[in-house]
Amino acid sequence: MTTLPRERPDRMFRRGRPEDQEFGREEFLYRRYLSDHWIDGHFSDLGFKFPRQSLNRQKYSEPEDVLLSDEGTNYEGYGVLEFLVCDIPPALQAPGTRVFVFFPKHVPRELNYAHSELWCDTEHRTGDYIEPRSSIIKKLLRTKLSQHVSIRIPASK
Amino acid sequence: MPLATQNARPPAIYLPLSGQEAEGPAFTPSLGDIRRAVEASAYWRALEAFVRAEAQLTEFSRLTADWDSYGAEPPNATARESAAQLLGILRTSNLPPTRVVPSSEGGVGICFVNGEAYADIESLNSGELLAVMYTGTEEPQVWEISQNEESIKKAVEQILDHLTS
Repeated sequence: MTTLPRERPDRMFRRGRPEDQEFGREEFLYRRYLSDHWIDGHFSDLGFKFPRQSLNRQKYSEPEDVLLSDEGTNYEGYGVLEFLVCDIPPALQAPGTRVFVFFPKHVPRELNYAHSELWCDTEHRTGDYIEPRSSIIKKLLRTKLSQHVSIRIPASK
Repeated sequence: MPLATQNARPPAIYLPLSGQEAEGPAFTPSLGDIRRAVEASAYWRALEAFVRAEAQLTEFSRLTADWDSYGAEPPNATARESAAQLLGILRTSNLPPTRVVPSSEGGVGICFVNGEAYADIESLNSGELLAVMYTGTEEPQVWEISQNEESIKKAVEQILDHLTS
Protein backbone atom coordinates (compact mmCIF):
# COMPACT_ATOMS: atom_id res chain seq x y z
CA MET A 1 0.00 0.00 0.00
CA THR A 2 1.31 3.47 -0.76
CA THR A 3 1.09 6.38 1.63
CA LEU A 4 -0.10 8.83 -0.99
CA PRO A 5 -3.17 10.59 0.40
CA ARG A 6 -6.29 10.75 -1.76
CA GLU A 7 -9.34 12.84 -1.14
CA ARG A 8 -12.28 10.69 -0.04
CA PRO A 9 -15.28 11.26 -2.29
CA ASP A 10 -18.28 12.66 -0.44
CA ARG A 11 -20.42 9.65 -1.44
CA MET A 12 -18.24 7.39 0.75
CA PHE A 13 -19.11 9.09 4.06
CA ARG A 14 -22.01 7.57 5.94
CA ARG A 15 -23.12 10.81 7.64
CA GLY A 16 -25.90 9.14 9.63
CA ARG A 17 -27.49 7.38 6.69
CA PRO A 18 -29.35 4.16 7.63
CA GLU A 19 -28.69 0.63 6.40
CA ASP A 20 -30.38 -0.22 3.13
CA GLN A 21 -30.95 -3.94 2.73
CA GLU A 22 -32.73 -3.61 -0.63
CA PHE A 23 -30.35 -4.95 -3.26
CA GLY A 24 -31.33 -5.02 -6.91
CA ARG A 25 -30.66 -8.27 -8.75
CA GLU A 26 -28.72 -6.32 -11.38
CA GLU A 27 -26.72 -4.30 -8.87
CA PHE A 28 -22.95 -4.76 -9.15
CA LEU A 29 -20.77 -5.67 -6.19
CA TYR A 30 -17.10 -4.63 -6.24
CA ARG A 31 -14.00 -6.10 -4.62
CA ARG A 32 -10.21 -5.67 -4.84
CA TYR A 33 -8.15 -8.43 -6.42
CA LEU A 34 -4.53 -9.32 -7.18
CA SER A 35 -3.32 -10.20 -10.66
CA ASP A 36 -2.12 -13.61 -9.40
CA HIS A 37 -5.74 -14.74 -9.21
CA TRP A 38 -6.57 -13.80 -12.79
CA ILE A 39 -5.27 -16.79 -14.73
CA ASP A 40 -5.55 -16.99 -18.53
CA GLY A 41 -9.00 -15.41 -18.63
CA HIS A 42 -10.33 -17.11 -15.48
CA PHE A 43 -10.72 -15.54 -12.07
CA SER A 44 -9.70 -18.24 -9.63
CA ASP A 45 -11.93 -19.09 -6.67
CA LEU A 46 -8.68 -18.93 -4.68
CA GLY A 47 -9.01 -15.14 -4.74
CA PHE A 48 -12.22 -15.35 -2.70
CA LYS A 49 -12.47 -15.83 1.01
CA PHE A 50 -15.54 -17.44 2.49
CA PRO A 51 -16.57 -15.79 5.72
CA ARG A 52 -18.24 -12.41 5.44
CA GLN A 53 -16.49 -11.37 2.28
CA SER A 54 -16.21 -7.57 2.05
CA LEU A 55 -17.76 -5.90 -0.97
CA ASN A 56 -18.89 -2.45 -2.07
CA ARG A 57 -22.32 -2.06 -3.57
CA GLN A 58 -22.83 -0.14 -6.80
CA LYS A 59 -25.86 1.78 -5.51
CA TYR A 60 -23.67 3.93 -3.25
CA SER A 61 -20.18 3.70 -4.76
CA GLU A 62 -17.94 3.72 -7.77
CA PRO A 63 -15.62 0.77 -8.47
CA GLU A 64 -12.46 2.70 -7.54
CA ASP A 65 -13.79 3.36 -4.01
CA VAL A 66 -12.62 -0.12 -2.92
CA LEU A 67 -9.05 0.96 -3.69
CA LEU A 68 -9.17 3.62 -0.97
CA SER A 69 -8.28 2.53 2.56
CA ASP A 70 -9.77 3.96 5.75
CA GLU A 71 -6.49 5.85 6.19
CA GLY A 72 -6.98 7.55 2.82
CA THR A 73 -4.16 5.70 1.08
CA ASN A 74 -4.46 3.82 -2.18
CA TYR A 75 -4.22 0.05 -2.44
CA GLU A 76 -1.47 0.35 -5.02
CA GLY A 77 -1.44 -2.21 -7.84
CA TYR A 78 -4.72 -3.89 -6.88
CA GLY A 79 -7.47 -4.18 -9.45
CA VAL A 80 -11.24 -4.14 -9.01
CA LEU A 81 -13.52 -7.00 -9.99
CA GLU A 82 -17.29 -7.03 -10.13
CA PHE A 83 -20.19 -9.45 -10.19
CA LEU A 84 -23.93 -9.03 -9.97
CA VAL A 85 -26.15 -9.70 -6.97
CA CYS A 86 -27.98 -12.31 -9.08
CA ASP A 87 -24.66 -14.14 -9.58
CA ILE A 88 -24.63 -15.10 -5.88
CA PRO A 89 -25.99 -18.65 -5.63
CA PRO A 90 -29.17 -18.28 -3.55
CA ALA A 91 -28.81 -21.67 -1.85
CA LEU A 92 -26.33 -24.53 -1.71
CA GLN A 93 -26.26 -27.94 -0.13
CA ALA A 94 -23.60 -30.61 0.05
CA PRO A 95 -24.35 -34.29 0.71
CA GLY A 96 -25.25 -34.70 4.37
CA THR A 97 -25.49 -30.98 5.14
CA ARG A 98 -28.30 -28.49 5.69
CA VAL A 99 -29.30 -26.07 2.96
CA PHE A 100 -27.51 -22.76 3.27
CA VAL A 101 -28.70 -19.50 1.73
CA PHE A 102 -26.45 -16.68 0.56
CA PHE A 103 -27.16 -12.99 0.12
CA PRO A 104 -25.49 -9.56 0.27
CA LYS A 105 -25.90 -7.58 3.48
CA HIS A 106 -25.37 -3.84 3.71
CA VAL A 107 -22.89 -3.22 6.56
CA PRO A 108 -22.13 0.50 6.24
CA ARG A 109 -18.97 1.98 7.75
CA GLU A 110 -18.43 5.59 8.70
CA LEU A 111 -15.85 6.06 5.92
CA ASN A 112 -17.40 3.65 3.43
CA TYR A 113 -21.18 3.79 3.35
CA ALA A 114 -21.39 1.28 0.48
CA HIS A 115 -19.57 -1.44 2.44
CA SER A 116 -21.42 -4.74 2.29
CA GLU A 117 -20.70 -8.37 3.10
CA LEU A 118 -21.61 -11.69 1.61
CA TRP A 119 -23.68 -13.41 4.27
CA CYS A 120 -25.00 -16.88 4.77
CA ASP A 121 -27.70 -18.40 6.91
CA THR A 122 -29.66 -21.61 7.06
CA GLU A 123 -32.75 -21.92 4.88
CA HIS A 124 -34.89 -21.19 7.97
CA ARG A 125 -33.39 -17.68 8.16
CA THR A 126 -32.22 -17.32 11.76
CA GLY A 127 -31.13 -13.72 11.08
CA ASP A 128 -27.61 -14.57 12.27
CA TYR A 129 -24.52 -15.31 10.25
CA ILE A 130 -24.43 -19.11 10.15
CA GLU A 131 -21.39 -20.51 8.42
CA PRO A 132 -21.48 -24.00 6.94
CA ARG A 133 -18.91 -26.41 8.34
CA SER A 134 -18.61 -28.14 4.99
CA SER A 135 -15.51 -27.02 3.11
CA ILE A 136 -17.17 -28.30 -0.06
CA ILE A 137 -20.05 -25.80 0.23
CA LYS A 138 -17.57 -23.00 0.87
CA LYS A 139 -15.47 -23.90 -2.16
CA LEU A 140 -18.55 -24.36 -4.31
CA LEU A 141 -19.77 -20.86 -3.41
CA ARG A 142 -16.36 -19.31 -4.09
CA THR A 143 -16.16 -21.12 -7.42
CA LYS A 144 -19.65 -20.21 -8.57
CA LEU A 145 -18.95 -16.56 -7.82
CA SER A 146 -15.59 -16.70 -9.61
CA GLN A 147 -17.31 -17.99 -12.76
CA HIS A 148 -19.24 -14.70 -13.05
CA VAL A 149 -16.46 -12.24 -12.27
CA SER A 150 -15.58 -9.43 -14.66
CA ILE A 151 -12.61 -7.16 -14.32
CA ARG A 152 -13.53 -3.51 -13.87
CA ILE A 153 -10.06 -2.09 -13.16
CA PRO A 154 -7.13 -4.35 -14.11
CA ALA A 155 -4.58 -5.16 -11.40
CA SER A 156 -0.90 -4.52 -11.99
CA LYS A 157 0.30 -6.30 -8.83
CA MET B 1 65.76 -9.73 -59.23
CA PRO B 2 65.78 -7.09 -56.55
CA LEU B 3 65.35 -8.47 -53.01
CA ALA B 4 62.25 -6.39 -52.35
CA THR B 5 60.53 -7.95 -55.31
CA GLN B 6 61.60 -11.52 -54.30
CA ASN B 7 60.10 -11.18 -50.79
CA ALA B 8 56.90 -9.54 -51.89
CA ARG B 9 53.76 -11.49 -50.90
CA PRO B 10 51.49 -12.61 -53.70
CA PRO B 11 48.35 -10.55 -54.07
CA ALA B 12 45.65 -11.63 -51.62
CA ILE B 13 42.56 -13.27 -53.01
CA TYR B 14 39.36 -12.16 -51.24
CA LEU B 15 36.15 -13.99 -51.85
CA PRO B 16 33.23 -11.69 -52.46
CA LEU B 17 31.09 -11.15 -49.30
CA SER B 18 27.78 -13.02 -49.34
CA GLY B 19 26.11 -11.02 -46.57
CA GLN B 20 25.60 -14.19 -44.44
CA GLU B 21 28.93 -14.02 -42.62
CA ALA B 22 27.50 -12.51 -39.40
CA GLU B 23 25.23 -15.53 -38.89
CA GLY B 24 28.06 -18.02 -39.30
CA PRO B 25 27.82 -21.33 -41.09
CA ALA B 26 24.31 -22.61 -41.81
CA PHE B 27 24.62 -25.65 -39.51
CA THR B 28 25.23 -23.51 -36.38
CA PRO B 29 21.90 -22.59 -34.74
CA SER B 30 21.56 -19.05 -33.48
CA LEU B 31 20.47 -18.24 -29.93
CA GLY B 32 17.07 -17.37 -31.35
CA ASP B 33 16.82 -20.84 -32.98
CA ILE B 34 17.70 -22.51 -29.68
CA ARG B 35 15.16 -20.39 -27.78
CA ARG B 36 12.44 -21.22 -30.33
CA ALA B 37 13.27 -24.93 -30.17
CA VAL B 38 13.11 -24.89 -26.36
CA GLU B 39 9.79 -23.05 -26.44
CA ALA B 40 8.40 -25.57 -28.90
CA SER B 41 9.45 -28.52 -26.75
CA ALA B 42 6.66 -29.79 -24.50
CA TYR B 43 9.26 -31.36 -22.24
CA TRP B 44 11.10 -28.09 -21.65
CA ARG B 45 7.87 -26.15 -21.24
CA ALA B 46 6.71 -28.59 -18.56
CA LEU B 47 10.09 -28.50 -16.83
CA GLU B 48 10.02 -24.71 -16.86
CA ALA B 49 6.47 -24.72 -15.41
CA PHE B 50 7.52 -26.97 -12.53
CA VAL B 51 10.61 -24.89 -11.77
CA ARG B 52 8.44 -21.76 -11.76
CA ALA B 53 5.79 -23.43 -9.56
CA GLU B 54 8.39 -24.54 -7.01
CA ALA B 55 9.87 -21.04 -6.95
CA GLN B 56 6.39 -19.54 -6.40
CA LEU B 57 5.75 -21.96 -3.55
CA THR B 58 9.03 -20.97 -1.88
CA GLU B 59 8.03 -17.30 -2.14
CA PHE B 60 4.84 -17.95 -0.14
CA SER B 61 6.84 -18.52 3.05
CA ARG B 62 7.56 -14.77 2.96
CA LEU B 63 3.91 -13.73 2.83
CA THR B 64 2.60 -11.98 5.93
CA ALA B 65 -0.90 -11.77 7.38
CA ASP B 66 -3.30 -9.61 5.37
CA TRP B 67 -1.33 -10.19 2.15
CA ASP B 68 -4.53 -9.75 0.12
CA SER B 69 -5.62 -6.59 2.03
CA TYR B 70 -8.74 -8.45 3.23
CA GLY B 71 -7.12 -10.13 6.22
CA ALA B 72 -6.06 -13.42 4.59
CA GLU B 73 -3.70 -15.70 6.51
CA PRO B 74 -0.46 -16.62 4.75
CA PRO B 75 -0.04 -20.27 3.72
CA ASN B 76 1.37 -22.19 6.70
CA ALA B 77 3.98 -24.97 6.63
CA THR B 78 1.28 -27.68 6.45
CA ALA B 79 -0.26 -26.15 3.32
CA ARG B 80 3.12 -25.52 1.69
CA GLU B 81 4.45 -29.02 2.38
CA SER B 82 1.27 -30.59 1.09
CA ALA B 83 1.47 -28.44 -2.06
CA ALA B 84 5.12 -29.49 -2.55
CA GLN B 85 4.06 -33.15 -2.34
CA LEU B 86 1.33 -32.44 -4.89
CA LEU B 87 3.82 -30.86 -7.26
CA GLY B 88 5.93 -34.04 -7.04
CA ILE B 89 2.93 -36.16 -8.04
CA LEU B 90 2.04 -33.75 -10.84
CA ARG B 91 5.60 -34.07 -12.14
CA THR B 92 5.32 -37.85 -12.36
CA SER B 93 1.88 -37.47 -13.98
CA ASN B 94 3.32 -34.95 -16.44
CA LEU B 95 0.67 -32.35 -15.62
CA PRO B 96 2.39 -28.99 -15.16
CA PRO B 97 0.35 -26.35 -13.31
CA THR B 98 -0.58 -23.12 -15.02
CA ARG B 99 0.07 -21.20 -11.81
CA VAL B 100 0.58 -21.69 -8.09
CA VAL B 101 -1.09 -18.99 -5.97
CA PRO B 102 -1.78 -18.25 -2.33
CA SER B 103 -5.41 -18.81 -1.35
CA SER B 104 -7.43 -16.05 0.28
CA GLU B 105 -9.00 -18.78 2.40
CA GLY B 106 -5.54 -19.53 3.86
CA GLY B 107 -3.46 -22.04 1.96
CA VAL B 108 -1.97 -22.74 -1.45
CA GLY B 109 -3.75 -23.32 -4.73
CA ILE B 110 -2.36 -25.17 -7.73
CA CYS B 111 -4.25 -24.04 -10.83
CA PHE B 112 -4.71 -25.49 -14.30
CA VAL B 113 -6.23 -23.75 -17.29
CA ASN B 114 -6.78 -25.00 -20.80
CA GLY B 115 -8.99 -22.62 -22.74
CA GLU B 116 -12.42 -22.61 -21.10
CA ALA B 117 -11.49 -25.49 -18.81
CA TYR B 118 -10.33 -24.63 -15.31
CA ALA B 119 -9.28 -26.77 -12.34
CA ASP B 120 -7.45 -26.28 -9.09
CA ILE B 121 -6.32 -28.23 -6.05
CA GLU B 122 -6.35 -26.19 -2.87
CA SER B 123 -4.15 -27.17 0.02
CA LEU B 124 -5.64 -25.41 3.04
CA ASN B 125 -3.86 -24.38 6.24
CA SER B 126 -6.21 -26.78 8.05
CA GLY B 127 -4.60 -29.69 6.18
CA GLU B 128 -7.63 -30.28 3.95
CA LEU B 129 -7.19 -30.83 0.22
CA LEU B 130 -10.01 -29.67 -2.05
CA ALA B 131 -10.33 -29.92 -5.81
CA VAL B 132 -12.59 -28.18 -8.27
CA MET B 133 -13.03 -28.34 -12.02
CA TYR B 134 -15.42 -26.75 -14.49
CA THR B 135 -15.73 -25.49 -18.02
CA GLY B 136 -16.99 -21.95 -18.62
CA THR B 137 -20.07 -21.32 -16.51
CA GLU B 138 -21.08 -24.98 -16.31
CA GLU B 139 -21.83 -26.51 -12.91
CA PRO B 140 -18.51 -26.96 -11.09
CA GLN B 141 -17.51 -30.27 -9.57
CA VAL B 142 -16.00 -29.93 -6.08
CA TRP B 143 -14.61 -32.75 -3.99
CA GLU B 144 -12.35 -33.42 -1.04
CA ILE B 145 -9.15 -35.40 -1.58
CA SER B 146 -7.83 -37.71 1.12
CA GLN B 147 -4.25 -37.08 2.20
CA ASN B 148 -2.75 -40.16 0.58
CA GLU B 149 -0.85 -40.63 -2.65
CA GLU B 150 -3.46 -42.86 -4.25
CA SER B 151 -6.30 -40.34 -3.75
CA ILE B 152 -4.14 -37.48 -4.97
CA LYS B 153 -3.12 -39.42 -8.09
CA LYS B 154 -6.76 -40.23 -8.80
CA ALA B 155 -7.69 -36.54 -8.51
CA VAL B 156 -4.81 -35.58 -10.81
CA GLU B 157 -6.04 -38.11 -13.40
CA GLN B 158 -9.57 -36.65 -13.21
CA ILE B 159 -8.20 -33.15 -13.73
CA LEU B 160 -6.03 -34.29 -16.62
CA ASP B 161 -9.08 -35.90 -18.27
CA HIS B 162 -11.07 -32.72 -17.70
CA LEU B 163 -8.43 -30.46 -19.22
CA THR B 164 -7.85 -32.64 -22.27
CA SER B 165 -11.42 -33.76 -23.03
